[in-house]
Amino acid sequence: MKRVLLASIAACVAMLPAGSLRAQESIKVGVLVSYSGMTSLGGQQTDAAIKLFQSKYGDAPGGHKIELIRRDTTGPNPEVAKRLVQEAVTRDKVQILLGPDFTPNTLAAAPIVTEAKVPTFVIGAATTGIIGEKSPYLTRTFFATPQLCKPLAPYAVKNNWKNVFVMVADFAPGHDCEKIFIDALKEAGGTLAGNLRIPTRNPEFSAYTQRIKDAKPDAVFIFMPLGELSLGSLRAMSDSGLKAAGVKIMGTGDITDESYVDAVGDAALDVITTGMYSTQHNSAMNKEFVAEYTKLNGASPRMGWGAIAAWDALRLVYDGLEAQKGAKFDPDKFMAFVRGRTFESPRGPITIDKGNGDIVQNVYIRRTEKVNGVLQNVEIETLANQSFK
Amino acid sequence: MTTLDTSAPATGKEAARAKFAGYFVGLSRWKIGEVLFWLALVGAYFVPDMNIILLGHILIWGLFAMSLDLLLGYRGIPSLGHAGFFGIGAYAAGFLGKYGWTEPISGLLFAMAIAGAVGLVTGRFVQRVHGVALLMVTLSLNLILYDAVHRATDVTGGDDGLQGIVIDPVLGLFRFDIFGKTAYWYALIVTFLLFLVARALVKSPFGLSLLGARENTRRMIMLGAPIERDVSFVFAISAALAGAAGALLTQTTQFVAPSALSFDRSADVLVILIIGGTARLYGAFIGAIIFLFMRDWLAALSPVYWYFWIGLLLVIVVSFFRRGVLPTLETLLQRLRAR
Repeated sequence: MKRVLLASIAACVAMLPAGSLRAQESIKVGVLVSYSGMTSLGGQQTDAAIKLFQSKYGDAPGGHKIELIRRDTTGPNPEVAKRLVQEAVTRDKVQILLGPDFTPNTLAAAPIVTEAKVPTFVIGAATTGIIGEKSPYLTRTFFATPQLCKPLAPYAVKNNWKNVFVMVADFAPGHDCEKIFIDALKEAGGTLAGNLRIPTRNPEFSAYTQRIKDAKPDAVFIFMPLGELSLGSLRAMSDSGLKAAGVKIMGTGDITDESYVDAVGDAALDVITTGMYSTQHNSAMNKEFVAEYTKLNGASPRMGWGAIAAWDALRLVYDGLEAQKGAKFDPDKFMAFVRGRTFESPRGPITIDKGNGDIVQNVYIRRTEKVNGVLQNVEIETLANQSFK
Repeated sequence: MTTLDTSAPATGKEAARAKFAGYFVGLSRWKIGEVLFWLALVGAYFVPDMNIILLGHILIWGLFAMSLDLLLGYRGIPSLGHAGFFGIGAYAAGFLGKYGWTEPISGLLFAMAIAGAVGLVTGRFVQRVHGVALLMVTLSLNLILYDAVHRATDVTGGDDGLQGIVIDPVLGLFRFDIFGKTAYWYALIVTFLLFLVARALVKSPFGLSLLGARENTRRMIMLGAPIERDVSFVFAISAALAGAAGALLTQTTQFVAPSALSFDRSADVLVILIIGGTARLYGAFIGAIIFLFMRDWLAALSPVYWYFWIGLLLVIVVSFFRRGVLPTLETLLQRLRAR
């Protein structure tokens, strides 16, 4: 009999709310990214970028003191992400959101940010059809899938690698990218040597590389999620002798991401990728950014796209708040300010589309090379102002 | 149940029946602690600054863990694939909401029926399998289902989840708001009603025969109990309750993604049940409260390293509360009283 009594006491105790501090006249910014598990690298980079940004520009733009609320989305987990967004908005009274990362999380959060009118910066989801369609309060400082999947098709044809084999990971973004690339390839006058979808769990690449060999393509286009699949696919291309036989290896920047390209080693050399940002980008602003980032956060782990996306989101947050100096925060005015804004980022010039809210940015064709003994994505061609469509 | 009638002393059937009826009446009498437990959940809503969004999710997890408790706690059948039924309920409710059947209560019942039907079939399928093999079978069923949903992107939206789910206000009056108020009441009432069903079941002769089969299957067979039929029946009930939990999640969040039936969820629900204590019904809820509040609290405190702390917590719980929090506290209390 007493056991249930205890149970109820335990229930009461457990329900005591975790203390939350409330300061007056501040702006609460929610940061919802993955801090744990396989995708924790994104969260680390976001934090590192925020730390650097605040050390440089302070924490009170336009007199609004920024208060950060950090929560762990634990990866692509829409149930958790949706609850965290809901809590951030209704309990912590967050007024601006960075994240949640990943497409399913963003989709789950969209109705809440619309209802609560919370400007939300997508810093880790690339799928099309979210920004501008699911909520007027969504905007993006990451990239949109077509920006990275399209350009290599005409580039390959231009370089006379006309017969291209396409290999993508078998998941929704992979299917998107596959379609975009193949359409662009046909439009540019290239031919499809064949295409493969690789299971996202523990694939054995040797059978696939054999099929690629048999198709005798001029080049292979690869799209893999960040992480071990990218690593594995590049190693397989090298080990199977495809690369040595003169087949060009191309892909989106995910496969040679700075955060793990060292682990890929020489197999990554001479791989051609598209990217929105490389730490090698040649501009005074980027050189300063990289130097300061490295000084504050150390050389390892290396900076990747998580950092730049958060950095540019903060740029917009700060400028937007500065514009509302002395006034009460107005989310609609804030969105109107952000949309249509053009500014110089360490990655190059970027514009937030006025009508849609999505990002328009330069896309770079890069070659992986050794710079001072370290593998780097060196930009060899710039495609200016690429659309998100 | 015939089993009990035959074991009754032959002093007249009527008297024996009355005696056994008395036994079950005593068993199912409400205890003060139970009443307090549910009143605390009602009262929690009125506590200022209470995180009712999280509490609503905890109820859903509790209901889900309770469904597993019927199977694991009362019948001794371990299932590593229980998220499969949760997911079936979640997607059933999701598809209904997407394709026009937006009334929540009938949607919930429908989702339960579907999950229950699948549970019945699964029960028939696994009723002769035991031990590790059973773990494997349930696990693989879960994985097959997950992969099917994950791959059928045209139907389920794959990774991105099912889009465009619309759920009407409950009873046409209470809209699901962003503050989670309706969601909490809806989850609480549904959970309580289903708890009553589960409670009635385990405190009935059927519940007793489940316990008997858990302790000594052969003996129950010799007594003439329909062991295999009971297994598929309890499987169906358990699956229906898990499906209800899934449907609740879909309806209160208006969203469903493959993570609803991921293996992680199957593992988490097992952990919750084991923390709380099996064969108690309340253990499932206590486990959910401890596990999810701790997880939320630690994740807010230290977003980067909280997995370490939750791991430590689990190790502590397992080493100091061997049979789960609730049974251990119960024994402790009994010992104190005996002094």
